[in-house]
Amino acid sequence: MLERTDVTTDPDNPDPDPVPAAASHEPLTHDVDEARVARPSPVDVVVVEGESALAEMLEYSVSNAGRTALTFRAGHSAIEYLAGDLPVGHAPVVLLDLDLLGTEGFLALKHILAARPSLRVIVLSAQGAERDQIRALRAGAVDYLVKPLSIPILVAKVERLLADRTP
Amino acid sequence: MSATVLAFIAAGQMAFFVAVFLMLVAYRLADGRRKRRRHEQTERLARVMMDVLENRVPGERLTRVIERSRGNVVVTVLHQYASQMRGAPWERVVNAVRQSGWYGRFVRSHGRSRLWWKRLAAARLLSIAAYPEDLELARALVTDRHPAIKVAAIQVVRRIRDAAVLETVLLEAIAARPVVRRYLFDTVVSVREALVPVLAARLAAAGSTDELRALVTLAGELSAVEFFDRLVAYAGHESLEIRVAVARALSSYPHPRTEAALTVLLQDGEWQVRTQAASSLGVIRAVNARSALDAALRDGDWWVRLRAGIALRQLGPSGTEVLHDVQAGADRFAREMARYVLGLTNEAVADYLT
Repeated sequence: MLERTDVTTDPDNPDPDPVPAAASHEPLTHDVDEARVARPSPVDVVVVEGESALAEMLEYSVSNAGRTALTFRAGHSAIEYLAGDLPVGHAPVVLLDLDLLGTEGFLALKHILAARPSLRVIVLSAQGAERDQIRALRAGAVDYLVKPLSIPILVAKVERLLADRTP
Repeated sequence: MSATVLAFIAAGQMAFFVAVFLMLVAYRLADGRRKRRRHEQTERLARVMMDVLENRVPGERLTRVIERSRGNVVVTVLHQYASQMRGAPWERVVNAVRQSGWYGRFVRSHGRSRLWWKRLAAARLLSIAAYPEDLELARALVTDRHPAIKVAAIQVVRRIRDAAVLETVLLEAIAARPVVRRYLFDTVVSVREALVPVLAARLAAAGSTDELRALVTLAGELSAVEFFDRLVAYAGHESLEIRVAVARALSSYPHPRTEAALTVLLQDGEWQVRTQAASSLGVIRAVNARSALDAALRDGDWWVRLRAGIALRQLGPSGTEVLHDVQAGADRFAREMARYVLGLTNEAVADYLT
């Protein structure tokens, strides 16, 4: 079983670094720096989600399908990674919890997609207003899913996008 | 019998046939006139409704036309358009309908009628035009003894996301027979944002085993993360039916804790639970549960062995490798099952999952 000992909820460090869920199912017990060094490449799915159970379910499904997931529990580090640190040529599927980015969620989405237009972003949000969905899709998201989510549907959408990417 | 009597009987019969013929003709004429009138009303109503939907005329015009139309015609036309329209245009129509005196009269007279078809018409109207002030009547119709009325009234939850009505619907669904239950569940699933908190609260305080089983089944269908902890906790329930329902529901929750719970259920004393646990491990593609599924291939029950074999096929190459090893192993039953499962086409394996 995957262990997530390196994700912290320490109030002094509210913006934990990303942690990869490796395709092999060896427990990840190394610290953050080691995780960064040992990050599998390429990353297939980037999960930006504050709800830990949902993020873990996505990681589990992705890694059981032999793919690699990278999870962020805070918005700012996710933006930095997607818009800047993401290796050139990588175009992972991104599950982006828009609510995690606060009031500037749409701006952040536009910023990420302007920097990396090849990303396939599925937006997750508790806000189901049509106006929000249209804004996200116009910004370049491939889908917009309203919480509470159906987990199998989300997993199926991710698998579809990953399959489309496979040459 | 005299000729007079026979002539009398013949005349009577002839008169009877003539009367029947005349009645048939009169009925056809009256029916034709009624259909024409109904058609005219439907056309007029549809035309005005379209104008209101496209904001070409004020809602008052529709209100006036409704006042001059038959109740059932209005309900039928409203339903035709309700399935195609939503948002602000539809709310303009609903406002116009509710402003007519007809709406109040119709709902009052039909909603509490002793005749089921009248209550059904009221339920159909509420399902597309209800406001929060109609909640009390809606709740009464949801609990109606007639299944058609119940099913029609439950559509109200699409317009009014009221927790009390949703809870009433849930309880009605649990008490209903399987076909009606299925229909009620399908309706409430369409309003999942409102349903999830209601179901989560009910799941925590379920009374009977029947209720809990139905709630667990619905939680599995909704597959919302909010139910996950509760479902995992119910994996150790004393009732066989609940453990089977939980094992099935957990197949919608791919998570390391699901894998752990299903692996425990794979050791259950009851074959039904072991079978479902094996099946669900395959659905979530629990590659770490290979050895547990390998052991299940040696289970004393044929169904458990079958589902374990199918689950291993679902795991992909690593699962197939286990099946090949078992095929060359010593256990006769496991060997036969592995051979059977490996001989299945991918389509046949997929068929087992449906």
